[in-house]
Amino acid sequence: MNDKEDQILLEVENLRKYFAVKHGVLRRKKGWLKAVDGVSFELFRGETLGLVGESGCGKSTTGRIILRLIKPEPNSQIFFHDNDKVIDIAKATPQELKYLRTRMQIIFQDPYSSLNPWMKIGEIIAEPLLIHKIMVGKELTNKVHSLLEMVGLDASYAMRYPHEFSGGQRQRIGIARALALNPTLVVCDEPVSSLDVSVQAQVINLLVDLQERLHLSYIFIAHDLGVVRYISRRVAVMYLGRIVEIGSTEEIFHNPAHPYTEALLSSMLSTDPDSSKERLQLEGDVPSPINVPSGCPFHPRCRYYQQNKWPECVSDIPTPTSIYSDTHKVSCHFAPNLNLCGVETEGTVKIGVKNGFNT
Amino acid sequence: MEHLLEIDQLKTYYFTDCGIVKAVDGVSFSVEKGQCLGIVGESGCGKSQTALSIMGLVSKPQGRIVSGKILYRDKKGHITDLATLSPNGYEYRSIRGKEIAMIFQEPISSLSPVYTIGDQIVEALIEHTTLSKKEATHRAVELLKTVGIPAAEERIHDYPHQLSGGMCQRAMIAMALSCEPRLLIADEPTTALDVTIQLQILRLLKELQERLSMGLMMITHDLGVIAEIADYVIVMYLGKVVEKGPVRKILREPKHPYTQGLLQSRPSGTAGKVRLNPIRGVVPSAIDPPAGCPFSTRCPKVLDKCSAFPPFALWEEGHAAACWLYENFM
Repeated sequence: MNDKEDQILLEVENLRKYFAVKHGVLRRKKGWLKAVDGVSFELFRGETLGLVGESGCGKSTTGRIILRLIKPEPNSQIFFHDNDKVIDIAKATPQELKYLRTRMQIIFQDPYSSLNPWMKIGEIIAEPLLIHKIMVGKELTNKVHSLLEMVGLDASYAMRYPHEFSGGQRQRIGIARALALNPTLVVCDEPVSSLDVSVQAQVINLLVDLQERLHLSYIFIAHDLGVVRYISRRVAVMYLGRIVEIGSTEEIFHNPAHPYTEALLSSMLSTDPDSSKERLQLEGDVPSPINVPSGCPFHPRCRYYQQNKWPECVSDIPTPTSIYSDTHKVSCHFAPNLNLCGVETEGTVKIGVKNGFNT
Repeated sequence: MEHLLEIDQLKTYYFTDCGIVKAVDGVSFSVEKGQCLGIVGESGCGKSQTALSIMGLVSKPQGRIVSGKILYRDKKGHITDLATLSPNGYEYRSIRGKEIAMIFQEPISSLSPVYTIGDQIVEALIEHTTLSKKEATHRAVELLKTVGIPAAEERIHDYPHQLSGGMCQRAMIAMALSCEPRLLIADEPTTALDVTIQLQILRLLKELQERLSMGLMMITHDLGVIAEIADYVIVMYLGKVVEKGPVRKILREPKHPYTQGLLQSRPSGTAGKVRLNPIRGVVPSAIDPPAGCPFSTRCPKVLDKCSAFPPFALWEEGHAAACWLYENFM
């Protein structure tokens, strides 16, 4: 790991976003939906941070707040370390925001709805360059062609419309558009989940190649743990608007410290028909983010809480603390006492001692 | 063993303005009682169309079962060819939903938004059984309990939008099970769900299949789902079966280059270790499929012979692959 990789690109501190829940004819506020509730992490240059969790856990909202597509609550801080200066994205002025848009981009989940069907591919890719008045004319045409070739498409496709392309090709077009302005940070919001398995692998390879070539940093939002494990250097596990565990991919997958991470890993399907069929099954659904359970938000579904009924789990919200190593943080009161199981070797899930608790 | 359902050279074509789409092109397989058959393939391979053909739900007027047999053996051992029945006729209607039931991919969009889930289950029960409305409602509550919906007495009055995706899928399963079908077709039942919920639903299906000794046809694109639940697997590509065999054989010793490619393109292990090995190119258009082996345009091991459709090469335990690479043809 060289110095450049250790440079911080993004520091997110205490990120919060509450949406007002309105009700009735007068649209009175009935409560708050805490989509993101105190998320803090940092992203280093050239790395991929995977954000995983079930639907409704706030992972997409987090990605969009970082791009300021959604404005966070007042005391949130998102420091973007550009070449020589630091900008707080949460409080950026319109001029700063316009500049920031050239530094960070997004790749969307659904390649069918994220491309304007009335525009030609060439126009779609050229649009960011025109808006930011970076180049025009012949230079622009050449740039569009080189971008198309960079993502593995033929330059002649610039004259075609989105409906002429398959899902995988559209996703490549989306990637070309995101990279047109030469950003340093790209938020990938489930970029491969709507693609077929064989095409998925092509797009993942493309994302990995482009990251090496252009020294990009990715925030990779996905619910497919296999993909996240493959592509990410570090992983953050979110549950009900909070990061419950963050650490290097290996640590998270081999040595999870939060019961939720353990349950998620255990529900990963493998293609080995003889992999242990004894899985830890997570009961029930994610609670509504409007009525978040008190204390640790995971306690109603946590098997260790159900066994031991620790009062702290209901009364106190756990804070992120280091476990196993400095970079591995977990929000669980009893993480050091638990003996959790991760993914042992390729594909197989290890199921440990029956009650999984060391006293 | 007597087959519950036997499909023989089924061909379902769509006659569109652009040409003939051979959605299902000569597919044969059988489902046994108490067995889970997995059908795996990418989008457009005809796996859902096969299911719709069995259910008599091929969309008219473009779509039509051109030839082939769908032989269904009922409780008394009487065999009916579903392909010859009128899809709207009395005979088909008494089988569809009662003897053969289906679960669809998108639970929220395949339930009616204007009726409560209770009404929708009761409707199926009244159509197919002699129960009174009151008895049917009682049975609906029992069914919802069976599929693990908490507080079923209250949930029965809920509309689909009031339930989460996982709960809707459970309600769909309850509806499909309402008449105790002998064959359950599940078309990507977990694709729209979270991984944790996916596991709950797969467990539930497996448990119900064993308890009711139903035949289960699991249609999916995810080999992980296949490994979890299937006993026997069919791999489809562009409307044709390219490989079939017991689940262990297919996942451990895949013979067809397409199956091998599918397994290799799944990311496994950690970052930076190995580059993923995807299948090159894209699935060709179904209107103009390649002559001969449908996979020949993307196959890394393509031969001159591949311009003719290969016969099935056969190994032990009924493991077979349609590929010219092998010589042990039937």
